[in-house]
Amino acid sequence: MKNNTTYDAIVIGAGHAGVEAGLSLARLNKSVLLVTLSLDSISNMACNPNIGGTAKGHLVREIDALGGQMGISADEAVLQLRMLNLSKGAAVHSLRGQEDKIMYHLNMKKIVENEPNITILQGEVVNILTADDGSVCGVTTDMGNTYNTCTIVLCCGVYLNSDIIIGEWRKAEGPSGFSRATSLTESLISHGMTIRRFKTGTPARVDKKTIDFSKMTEQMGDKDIYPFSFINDKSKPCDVSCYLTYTNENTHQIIRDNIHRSPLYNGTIKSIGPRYCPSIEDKVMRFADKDRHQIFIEPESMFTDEMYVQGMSSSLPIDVQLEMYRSIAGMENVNIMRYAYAIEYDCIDSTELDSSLMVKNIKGLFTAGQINGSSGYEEAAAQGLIAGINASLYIDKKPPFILTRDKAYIGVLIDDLVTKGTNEPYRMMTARAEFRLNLRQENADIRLTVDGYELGLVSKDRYDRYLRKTELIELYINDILNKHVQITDLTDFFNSIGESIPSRSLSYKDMLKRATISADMIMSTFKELSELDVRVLREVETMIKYEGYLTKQDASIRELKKLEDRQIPSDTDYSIIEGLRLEAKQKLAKIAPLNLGQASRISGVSPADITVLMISLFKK
Amino acid sequence: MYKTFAAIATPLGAGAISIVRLSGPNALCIASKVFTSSKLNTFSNAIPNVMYLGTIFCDGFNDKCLAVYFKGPHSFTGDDVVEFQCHGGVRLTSEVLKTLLSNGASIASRGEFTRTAFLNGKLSLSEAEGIVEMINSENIASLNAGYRMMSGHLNKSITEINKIILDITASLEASLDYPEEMEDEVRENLESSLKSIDSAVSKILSTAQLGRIINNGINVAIIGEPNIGKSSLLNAILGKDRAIVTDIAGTTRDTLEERVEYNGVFINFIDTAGIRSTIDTIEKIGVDKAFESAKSCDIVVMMMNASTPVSSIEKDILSKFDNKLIIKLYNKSDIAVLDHCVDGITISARDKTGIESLLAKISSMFISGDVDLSGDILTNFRHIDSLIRANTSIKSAIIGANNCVPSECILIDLRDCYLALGEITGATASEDIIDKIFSKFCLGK
Repeated sequence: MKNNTTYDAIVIGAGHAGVEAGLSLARLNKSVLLVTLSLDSISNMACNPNIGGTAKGHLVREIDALGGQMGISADEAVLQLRMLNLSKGAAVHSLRGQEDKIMYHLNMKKIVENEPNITILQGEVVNILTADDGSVCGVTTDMGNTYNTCTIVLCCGVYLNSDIIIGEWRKAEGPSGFSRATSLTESLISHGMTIRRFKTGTPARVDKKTIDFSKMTEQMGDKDIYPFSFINDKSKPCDVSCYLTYTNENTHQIIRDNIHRSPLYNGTIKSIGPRYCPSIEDKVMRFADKDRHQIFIEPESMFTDEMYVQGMSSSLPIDVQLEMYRSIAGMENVNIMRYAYAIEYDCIDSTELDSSLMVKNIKGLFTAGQINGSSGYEEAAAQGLIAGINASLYIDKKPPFILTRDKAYIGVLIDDLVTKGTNEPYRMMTARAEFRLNLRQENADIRLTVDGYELGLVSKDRYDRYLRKTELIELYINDILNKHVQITDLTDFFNSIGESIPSRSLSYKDMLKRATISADMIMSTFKELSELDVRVLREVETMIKYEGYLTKQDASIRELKKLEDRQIPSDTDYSIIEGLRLEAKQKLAKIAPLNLGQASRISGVSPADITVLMISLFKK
Repeated sequence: MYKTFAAIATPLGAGAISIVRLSGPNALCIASKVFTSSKLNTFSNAIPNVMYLGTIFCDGFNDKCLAVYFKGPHSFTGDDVVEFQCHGGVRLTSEVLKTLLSNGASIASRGEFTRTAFLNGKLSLSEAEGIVEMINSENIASLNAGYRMMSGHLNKSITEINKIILDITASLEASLDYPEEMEDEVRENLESSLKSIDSAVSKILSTAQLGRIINNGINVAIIGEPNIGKSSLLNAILGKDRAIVTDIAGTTRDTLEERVEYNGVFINFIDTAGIRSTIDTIEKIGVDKAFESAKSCDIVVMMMNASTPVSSIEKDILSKFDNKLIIKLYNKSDIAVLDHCVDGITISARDKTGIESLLAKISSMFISGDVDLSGDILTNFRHIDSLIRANTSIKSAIIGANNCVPSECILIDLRDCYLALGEITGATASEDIIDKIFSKFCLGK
């Protein structure tokens, strides 16, 4: 720290994005001022008490492999772990943890406090200051303090001019009862940024003591699964249950009878909500043929009796809410402690960012998380980490760190946001990742540890773990699994699994190619394999089973690489390129793609436009 | 592997020799699958820059052709290139190209060779400017109403297919991204749905031949004994003196091609030298060419004399083309028409009578009543290539579904199929799929 008002970087907001941004900057030896509206909202999980899930679990593993914090902290505060999609292939296995929200918040707060390069400040940033050349030079707070910096990471979540809406009731407030930020939007507009209004929502929290769990189905966690962080070989004990119940015709009737009082349906809410996170009234009205919807009751924390009612997000008035919650089996006498609400908030147009998450027209201003139009803790944390890394590289005047779509879900996430933009809060889905088979939870360390190590975020210990794993994979694939098993030894094994005995000897690799034979099976059957590392062997099994399809995918990746390798100078004037259609000229100028690969993904830019562009670049 | 591309490098239908170019890392490998030369036990041993005479094996026929291998980076594109110099004519050239495609090459899309050349740093400034001009002119062509109508029909059918693919894809994707809310029954009808896609794609592909004819025209070779009036016929059809007409037998020594439009269909007439035993070297070449041209045409018009019986040479020629679409044309009806002429069309090239019935006959042979012109007409190779790739992908998906391959793998094939078809209609996978997932299923908490 140079003095008490000048910092290398200022991070605005200490939610999931802000914390990762602050920690990565600090760990890369930058002095950081972390400003948040309330110290009690650091890493607050304002909505569901989970981390992970489909595609999101992948993001957490990637954050972890790069040296981020989320995975380690999620492992600390875990109440239950489940591996989703176990019946499907390994690429879509997705880890989800029920988290103790209070513990998660407190742990994260402590971690941030203990980080020597971070100075924490409670306050509201009201203005972003820029120098004559348009680059960032500082911030002012509502109390009138000015702090100087050349780099800002804006991670203000859903707090900009947010409104809480419940039926006819509307309050100018942030999520979870925290106050909102009222001036920053104007500051962003004054710097030429486009502001949009998105909407999201959360269900009620109910008192555990007023729930009859005997009318619900208990949902237990999975045993013996690997936790989020690669540095943890096993999870700490966690066996808290969730409960499944359903809405019914009565619930739906209550909603239909009161739909005119729904802000979503009577026009009070005009902003855009996420399709993947519909309110219960939305589900009932849009999918009238469904006679029931799943409701999961999940613990918020061990320090409270508040329970989260997954699936019942709503903005109906409180009397309707109480009636419909009480219509559900097991909740007949439920006491609502916090009502469900919708929240409207300001966010930016993410196509105004470059691939490093820096605002194209404001040098030194990075943005991450829900301000960018995304949703979800994991999406926010991933962006926060990358924005922090790139802010640090920017300070060091080094080229940005950009993950490609074939390398990480994080790459897909950021590329989608900055290249295509989003018209609703953006959620990561495995369906968005065209190279999904390569982007597995279990190889996130293989994909990203080296990057994290070279950046300076990954410890020696983590790096050594990575090296050991790659050595083992090499050894298993090229040596151990190539061993052939004599037909006599195979007989018992094939008999035991009820399959016809092969006519010739097989290698272990040959066996693993079969859908019916798993790594665990051969490990427990053949003595010479019993000492192998089961986690690594399972990963190798995945590589073997997917081989044909991975080859197919690699071909597409190499196609893409050829285009991605062609850089487009940032000063390219598209308007004078002969042969480009007008629409393409406009879109290209707006997005300012880094390379031809990114250019080819812009909607409205055709393959012919890409050829024209390529040739014009070549002529230079 | 980067893709290996194939394309016809010379203008279609013009000239006696066509060049088909193959470029990419698999060029030599694909070439060795379809081409053999007596000089080599396999073409993969070909010496760069040396031309080999050999045989190219196409679906249903073989043909003599020349092949030369240019080793990258010393080639036009900078990648490995094999060029085939084969007999001209739309049909033969197209078949050669099709053969390369079915052996693993991809059709070069608009400017693909140039793009590859560019990526490998092998493009001159003027070539680069040429490609921009080409794209410009194609953009203008696409504004043409007829072009739009034709592509509109195709787009409609393909959009229908893609709707089915999207439906299946959305179900499978939804069960991957929402495992707790989606029941796993989506795979029950998977195979039959995939098969319906397969047959829809195949059906459109089967119109490829007709589409090619609409785009490039029907190639008609006019053959016959010298001085039978072939050149006069061509002049009569065209209404101008294109061919040299004299009374000396064997005047026409080169093949001539002319295009006329009849009922909206182009007919390309290829006038050939008279076919007879000859000692004149130049004429000998012409005669060989006549046979070659005729061989690669869609229809052969065998011109004979209406006033004299069919000669033995004529019978000999007719027998050489027995498996061709052949029209017997009896000229000189102004002199006399003998009884045997009933099996053909009688005309008088000199009086210009009967020409109309010849043209009607030719077009009716292709555009017969049971071919619905408003259906899906594939008119360009880029579309055909897209459909071939869609077909390959969907077949691979069916095999996957048959063998209980996990959904995320089948989805790779489905996505490839969707994208291949999307190259025709402009659909893109990612957002389409996600839109579909949320409109179809009630998901999310």
